[in-house]
Amino acid sequence: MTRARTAAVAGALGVLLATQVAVADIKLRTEVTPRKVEIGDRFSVRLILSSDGRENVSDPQLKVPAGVRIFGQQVTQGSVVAITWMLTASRAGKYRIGPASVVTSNGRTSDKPVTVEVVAQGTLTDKQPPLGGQPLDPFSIMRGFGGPGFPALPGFPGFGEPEPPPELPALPEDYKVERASDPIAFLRATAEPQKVVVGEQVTLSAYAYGGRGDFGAASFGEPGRDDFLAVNIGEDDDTRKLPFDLDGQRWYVSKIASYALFPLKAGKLKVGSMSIGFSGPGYSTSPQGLLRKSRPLEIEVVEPPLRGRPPGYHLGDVGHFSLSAQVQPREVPIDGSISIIAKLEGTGNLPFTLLVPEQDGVHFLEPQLFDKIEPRRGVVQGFRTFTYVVELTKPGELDLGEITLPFYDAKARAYGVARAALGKVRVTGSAKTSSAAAKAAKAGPSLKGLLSPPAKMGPNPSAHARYLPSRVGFWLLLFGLPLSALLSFALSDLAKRWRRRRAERRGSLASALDAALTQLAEHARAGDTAGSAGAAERALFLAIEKATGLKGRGVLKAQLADVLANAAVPRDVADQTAALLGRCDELRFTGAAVELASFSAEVRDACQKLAQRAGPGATGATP
Amino acid sequence: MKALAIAVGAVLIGLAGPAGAETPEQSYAAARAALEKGADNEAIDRMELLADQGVNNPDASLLRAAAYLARADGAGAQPGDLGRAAAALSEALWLRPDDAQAEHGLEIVQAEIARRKTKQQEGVVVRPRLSRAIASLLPEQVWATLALLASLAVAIGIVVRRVATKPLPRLTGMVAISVGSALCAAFGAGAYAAEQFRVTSQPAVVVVAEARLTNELGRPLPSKRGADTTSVPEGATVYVRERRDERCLVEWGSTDGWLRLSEVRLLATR
Repeated sequence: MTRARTAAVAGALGVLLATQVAVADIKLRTEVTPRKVEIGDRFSVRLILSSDGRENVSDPQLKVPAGVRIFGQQVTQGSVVAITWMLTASRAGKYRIGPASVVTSNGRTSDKPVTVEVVAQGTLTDKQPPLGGQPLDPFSIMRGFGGPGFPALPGFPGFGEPEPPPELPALPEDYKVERASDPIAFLRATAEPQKVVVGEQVTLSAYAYGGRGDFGAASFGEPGRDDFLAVNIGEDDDTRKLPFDLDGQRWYVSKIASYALFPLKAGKLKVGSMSIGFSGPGYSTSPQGLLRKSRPLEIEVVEPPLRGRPPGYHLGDVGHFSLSAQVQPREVPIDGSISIIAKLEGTGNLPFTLLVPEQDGVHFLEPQLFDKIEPRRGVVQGFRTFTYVVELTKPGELDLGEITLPFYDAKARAYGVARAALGKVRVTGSAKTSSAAAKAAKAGPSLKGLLSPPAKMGPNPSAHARYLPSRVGFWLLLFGLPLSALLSFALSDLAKRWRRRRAERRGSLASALDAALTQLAEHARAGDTAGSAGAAERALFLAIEKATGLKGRGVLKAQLADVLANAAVPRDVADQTAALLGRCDELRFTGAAVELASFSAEVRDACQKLAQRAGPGATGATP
Repeated sequence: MKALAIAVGAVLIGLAGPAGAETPEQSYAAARAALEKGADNEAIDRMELLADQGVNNPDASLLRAAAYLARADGAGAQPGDLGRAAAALSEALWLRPDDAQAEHGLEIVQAEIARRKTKQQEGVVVRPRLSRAIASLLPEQVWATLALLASLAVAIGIVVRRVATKPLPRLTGMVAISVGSALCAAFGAGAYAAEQFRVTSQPAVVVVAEARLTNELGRPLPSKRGADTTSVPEGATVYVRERRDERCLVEWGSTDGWLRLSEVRLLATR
């Protein structure tokens, strides 16, 4: 099996090296930038390989000591091959990093180690701008500018010499501004598009505008972009400073940086401001230059739609890709291995994993990757190869199926699946029983056959159970049942009590009325005028109260007849009652000669009439 | 070189094609077929997509659990597979509480997680919070129904106590009022607590080998005396009470702490 696997790996590498049979003249150079960093700062180690012919390289490796961590690697292949590792250190000290090595047509070739010094945070005063996780060459951003601190040299372009004002070239659309945000110099950043899906490329560009003639860049601060994977695509940018006139002033503009940003998550993601130090006559002579910052940007990132999403789609796989595959050999003994080289090509952020076909007896090992990804006309594109070693443990002719990659095509706003069919392989020999024995010897229960899901999916449970406690009605019912019983009885008791009191009150008025009439009769018999008047008055007021509920003493006697009439007492009875009360006053104060017996009878009659008004229950004024 | 040249012979190129949309039933059938032929990852991808699309079905959860268990049992096992299987089984039980297969499977998976864990360190036993333990004694609907019955008993007791003239019915009414009131208060509190726990927290299962609880600032919680309750083991059920960015505040036993959302799988509930 080992021999077969070795053969497979050798075959895979052979495909890569097939064109490189002669020993090539290869030169290596390793650079570290910067050489002195603070703890946690990022720095890069770059292995540059040049040869007399086109060289295919694979398996780049960089040895790092404890305390130093590699967090990114990028291979750029052109006339020279450059492999850039992004690193960070967690402890202070001097570190020997490397040697960096790579497999070439001459075999594994390595260069000399490099040294970097890591110091405590806050130690470096002239700290260089952070590299910010940029996987591509971060050091060409200053191209096209005169060096900072250099004096202007007449006759040498790029060092601040004022250009003669010939005919101005047409300014590209993306360079144009409607107004200057600063009279001397400013920096403008743009991001296109501003609404994307996770994994879709956003192109971030920065333009420097100088209004005091030609300028250089004394310093440059990269944008913060934690939520993005960033690739420097400024290699092909036009770095010339283009003159143009705005509001009667001559300006110079230059595109100083371009990045392809790939958002890593959904949300409103921030791109921090960039900064540049303008240097040159009219700007600043300080080492930092005249510092200007661009405004931070906000990118709206959403997830691609769930509708139509193919199984196995990984968030962030956005672009347009195609797959091809090579399989070798097509016939192997059982427990042998084959090699599959899948090549993924296209535009976008090329994924690091593919969906491999699985079946019993076929086991894909982790692939080895090799890629060449670079921007072309502002779009990140290239290829990545995945070299798999596949172990085959089941005899017979096996249809391997296909390797796939589901992706989202942001331009077409649709999902697609890149596919590469692998065809069939023949596995010779017969199955061995050792694996079964090994399985039997394995500790723990067998989990694979533990569950037996039904052949067909049953109906979904009801969308949302209507939980009783979530309803207001439940709580009203819970407390309302006993409370309503209590309340109804309490109200019933109150009503009864009220009725009883009312009856009692009416009963007491009737007896008082009887008593007053009896006194009236006695005073009349005795010929007591004043006593008769008082008793008659009392009897009449009690009769009024009993009949109408009114306290007659509180009403002016002149108005009493009307008040009684308004209280539904017949008009004649009201008038009679008021007249009798007037006669009571006359009796009391003037002692007029009155037939007291007939007066008493009139009062009794009036009380009876009022009692009739009070209803059948209001008895008492009986003769 | 000759062998290599022969080997390079078979080159098959696949072109990108449009992806077709499947119904949930078709996805389920395809995932089941994939699982039967040993394509565990394909089955997992299909069932995860179904869950992402909002299909809450106990059979789908069961199949997802089976796919994770198959992978956990094979050479392609990945860390967290057993936790994800436990999450799928817990979800199946939330959606179909009387599913004996899911219940049995969950017991075995949790036992297997514990067995593997005890190879490395002591197991962690954490009792749930007392209020949650009491509230979870009965389903929320049962709490509510019992509370209503108790309330009805109180109402009837009041009526009997009032209307009856003979001593025995009046005594019966008094007893109904007393006992009914106590039970109404107890069951009503149970219903309220169950409702609050349901509304303010969502069950989730830890799907990483071990999740370390942190404070709001992301610093690990200090370990308490006795058992280490600040590390949540794989497959353990926690209750998510708050979500903020990529983190969530969880209740783990009597301890509250923050975990990364990627460390847990939120369960679909009815």
